[in-house]
Amino acid sequence: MTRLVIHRLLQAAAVIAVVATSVFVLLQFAPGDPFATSLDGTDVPPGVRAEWRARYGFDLPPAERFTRWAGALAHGQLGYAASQHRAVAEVLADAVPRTLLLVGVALALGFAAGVFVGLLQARHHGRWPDRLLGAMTLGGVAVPEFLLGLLAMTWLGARWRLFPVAGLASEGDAAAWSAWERLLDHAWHLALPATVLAVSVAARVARHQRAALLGVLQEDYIRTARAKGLGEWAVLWRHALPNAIGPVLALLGLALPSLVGGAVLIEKIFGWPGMGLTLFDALLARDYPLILAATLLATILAVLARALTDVVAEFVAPRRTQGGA
Amino acid sequence: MNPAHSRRLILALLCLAAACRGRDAAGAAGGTLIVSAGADAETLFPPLAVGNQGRAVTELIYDKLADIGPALNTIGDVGFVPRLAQRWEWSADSLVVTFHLDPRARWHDGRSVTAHDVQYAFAVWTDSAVGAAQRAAFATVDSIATPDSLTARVHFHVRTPEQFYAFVYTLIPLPSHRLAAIADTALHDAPEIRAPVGSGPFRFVSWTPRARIELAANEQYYRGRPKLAGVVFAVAAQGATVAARLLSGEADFLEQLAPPDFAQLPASGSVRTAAYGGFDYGFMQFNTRDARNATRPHALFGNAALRRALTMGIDRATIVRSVFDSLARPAIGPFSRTQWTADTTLTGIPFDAARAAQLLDSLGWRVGTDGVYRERQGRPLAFSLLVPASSRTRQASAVLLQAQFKNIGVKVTLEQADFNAFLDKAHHGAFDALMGGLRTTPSPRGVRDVWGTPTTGRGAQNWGRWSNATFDAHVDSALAATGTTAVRAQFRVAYQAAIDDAPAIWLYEPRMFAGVHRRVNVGTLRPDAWWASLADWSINPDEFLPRDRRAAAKP
Repeated sequence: MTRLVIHRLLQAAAVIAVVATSVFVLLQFAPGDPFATSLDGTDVPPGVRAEWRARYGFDLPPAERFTRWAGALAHGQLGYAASQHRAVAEVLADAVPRTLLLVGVALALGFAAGVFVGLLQARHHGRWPDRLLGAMTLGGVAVPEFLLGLLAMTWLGARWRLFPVAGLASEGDAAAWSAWERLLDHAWHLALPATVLAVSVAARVARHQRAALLGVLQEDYIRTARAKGLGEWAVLWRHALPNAIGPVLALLGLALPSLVGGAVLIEKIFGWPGMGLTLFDALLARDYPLILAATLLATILAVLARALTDVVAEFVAPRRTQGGA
Repeated sequence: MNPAHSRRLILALLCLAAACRGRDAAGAAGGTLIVSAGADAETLFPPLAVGNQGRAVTELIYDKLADIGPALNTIGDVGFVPRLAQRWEWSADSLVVTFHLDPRARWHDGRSVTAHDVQYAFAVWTDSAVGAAQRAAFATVDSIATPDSLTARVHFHVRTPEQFYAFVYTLIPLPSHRLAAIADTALHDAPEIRAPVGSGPFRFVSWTPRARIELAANEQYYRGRPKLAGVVFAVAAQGATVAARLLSGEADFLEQLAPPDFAQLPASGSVRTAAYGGFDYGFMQFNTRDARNATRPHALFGNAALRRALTMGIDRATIVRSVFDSLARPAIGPFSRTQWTADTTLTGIPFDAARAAQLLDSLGWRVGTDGVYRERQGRPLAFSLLVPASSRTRQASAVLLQAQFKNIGVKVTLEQADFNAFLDKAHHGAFDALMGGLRTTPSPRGVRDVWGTPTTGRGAQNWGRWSNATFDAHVDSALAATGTTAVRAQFRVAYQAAIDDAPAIWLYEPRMFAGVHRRVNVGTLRPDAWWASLADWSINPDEFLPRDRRAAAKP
C-alpha cells in the first residue's frame, strides 16, 4: 500500500509539472493582452496599457516570466490577478470552496442516484424498467451539460419559478434569518446547478453499476445466498453491491476532472462564482497568473482525487492486489 | 384673518415645508432595487473603474463636483448641475475656475468633504504610478489650489471648449484622510479601496466578487436621502441568465434588453420597458493599410472607389431589420444620434446593388468563370471579416453581410475570435475588415481617436488606419470652436467627408430599452449613465416584496 501511495504521488507531481509548463507555453501562443479589454476606451492613451503591462512583467520575454512565475510559486506566491485587482490567492480562496461545494454535492447526488438506478436495473434486468432506465441513462450521458443547464434555468427557474435563476443566496434581510433558514436558502440556490451537473455522473455511474452488478450476480456466492432464502434486494444490497462498487468508485476519480470542466459552463449559466467561472473570465481577460493558478489547482484536485480513489478502491475491493488468495 | 385665509395660509405653509424636505417628502421611502448585471465591477477605485459596471457603482458611492446636464452639452459649463460644488465661477481669461464646495457635503464616515480632497484626487488621477486610464482628460489642467477648505481653484494652462466637461465629468474627489497614507502604487488593491467610503447618495455595504455588490441609502446625504433603501447589483456572466433574472422577478432592472428578451416580456407579467437614448453604433470597418506591412495600402480597401462600391451593394435597412427588428436604426456616420453634434441630414451612400455591380465592373472586378464571384487579373475579390464571438448582433450582421456581398460577387470569409483576440488583431491591424461597435461618450472628441489619421494625439483606436485630411482638419476645427453652432458646422463637414470616403459601412444604432419591474418608478434614464438619477427612483410601498424588508445595513 505504501508503495502504491508513493507511486501515485510521484505520478501526480509529474503530471502537475507537465500541465503547468504546457499551459504556460500554450498561453504564449494565444493572441490577446491582459489589459486589452479592461483598458479599451477611446479615452485611454496607449501608454497606459504599456505601463500596466510593465508593472506586472508582461513586457518580459516568456522564458524570464516563466522562471519568475515558477520561482514565486516555489515560495507559495501565485501572483496578481490584474483582471480583478486582487491577489490570485485571494481570488481562489473565494472561488474554490464554492466549486468544491458544487462539485461535491453533484458527485454525491450523482453517485447515490447512479448506484440506485444501477441496482434497479440489475433487479429488473431485461424487463421494461431496465430498458426505460437504460434509455434515460443513455440520454443523461448524451445531453450536453450546458444545454441541460439552460433548459433547467429557463423552465424551472425563469418560467415556473420553482428555483432561483442564479446566485448564491436570496436577496433580503439575511441578518434576520436563522442559520437554518440561511442554510436552506443556500441549498435552494445550489439545487439546480448541482442537479444538472449530477445528471451525467448519475447516468455514467448507473450504466457502470448495472454492468458490474450483472457480472457479480453470476458468481457462486450469490447463488448460495439466494439458496439460503435471502430476498433479491437483500442479495443485491448485502452481497452483490459491496463486490460491484469498486469499479464505480474508480469511475468517480475519472469523473472529477470532467465535473470540474463541466462546472465552468454550469457556473457561468447559474451565476455561481466558483473556480469555473473564475477560470472562464480569466481566459477571456487573458489574466495569465490567474489562469495558471486555477489550472494548476484543478490539476492538483483531479490528480489527488484519482490517487485517493485508487487508494479507497484498494480498501473496498482488496482482492485485486491479493491475487485472489 | 378669516377662516378661509387661515386655511390657505396653513396649506401654503404645509406645501412649503414639503418642498423644503426635498426627497424626504416621499415619506415612505424604502425598498431595495436589484439590478441584474452582466458583469462585475472590475474595481471600486474611481480612477481605475472604466467599465460600465464599475462606473455605475462608483458614481453612486462618490459624487462629482458637478454633473453634465440633461442636454448632455459638453461645451463650456452650460447645463451642468451642481453636486459637491455648490457653485463655480470663471476667471476673466477662462483659465481658472473656482469651485465652492457645499459645506453640508460629508464622506460616509462623517468627515467633511474638503478642497484638499479635490486636490488629492487630481494628484492620484494624474500619477502614472496609479495608472488611471482617463488621465488624458486632465491634459489641460495645470494645478489645483486650495485657498480654504471649501474652495478649490483649478488652473488650466490652455483654454479649450470642453475643459470644464473633461474635468468635472472625469474627476471624482477622493477621501484624502483615508487614502493619502497609502502609497500610490498600492492604492489599486488596498483594503480601503475594496470597502470604499464615498460622498454620494449610496454607501458601500458589501462586495462578493463575481456575485453581488450591495449599497445602502446614505441617510445623511447632503442633497436629501435617496428614496430607495438600497441597491444590489446581482452579477451573472451569461446573457440569458441576466435577462432571466429580470423576467423571473428576481431582479428589478436590466440596463439593456436584447431583441430575444422582448418576446418573453408578456409571459413575465411583471416587467415593462423604459426607452432611453444610446451612445452605441455598429459598423463594418475596412482596413485601408496592408495587414502585414502598414506602409503599403491594402490591396483592396486602399481604393476608396472600391469601398464606396461595396458600401453601395449593402442593404443596411434589411440587415438592421433582420437583426434588431425595430430595436435599431441604420447608422448615419461615425457618431450616434444621441451625441449633440449628430446630424441626421447628411447624405449617405444609398443602397443600389445594380449600380454597385456597375462600379465594380468599371474598376475591373468582373464576374469570373464560376459565374458568382468577381476577379481581376486572376485575383478574386475576396476578404476575411473579423467578428468578435462575444457579440451575437455583430455575428448575425456579419452573416447577412456575407450573403449580400455574395449577391454582388464578393467572397467574404468570416473569422471569429474571442473578444480579447479580436482586440489584439484589431490593435495590430491584422485583419481585412472587422465588425466594430463603439459606445461613444457625450463628447464628440472620441471621433478623433477612432477615425482620425493615426499619428500623435489622434487615431489611437483607428484600427483601419484610414486617413482623410478633410476629416482631420474639420474635426480639429470643431474641437477648437467655442460656439455650438460653429462646432456643429465643422462636424457636419467632417462627418460628410467620412461618409463619402467610406472607411466603414455604417450599420446600426441600437435603440436602448431597459427592463424595469413594474413596481419601480424610474426617472429619466440618462444615455451615458442610466444610474445618474437613481437616488430619485422609488418603489411603491404597497408593492414591496419580502426582499425589500431588510434591516438597515450598518454604516
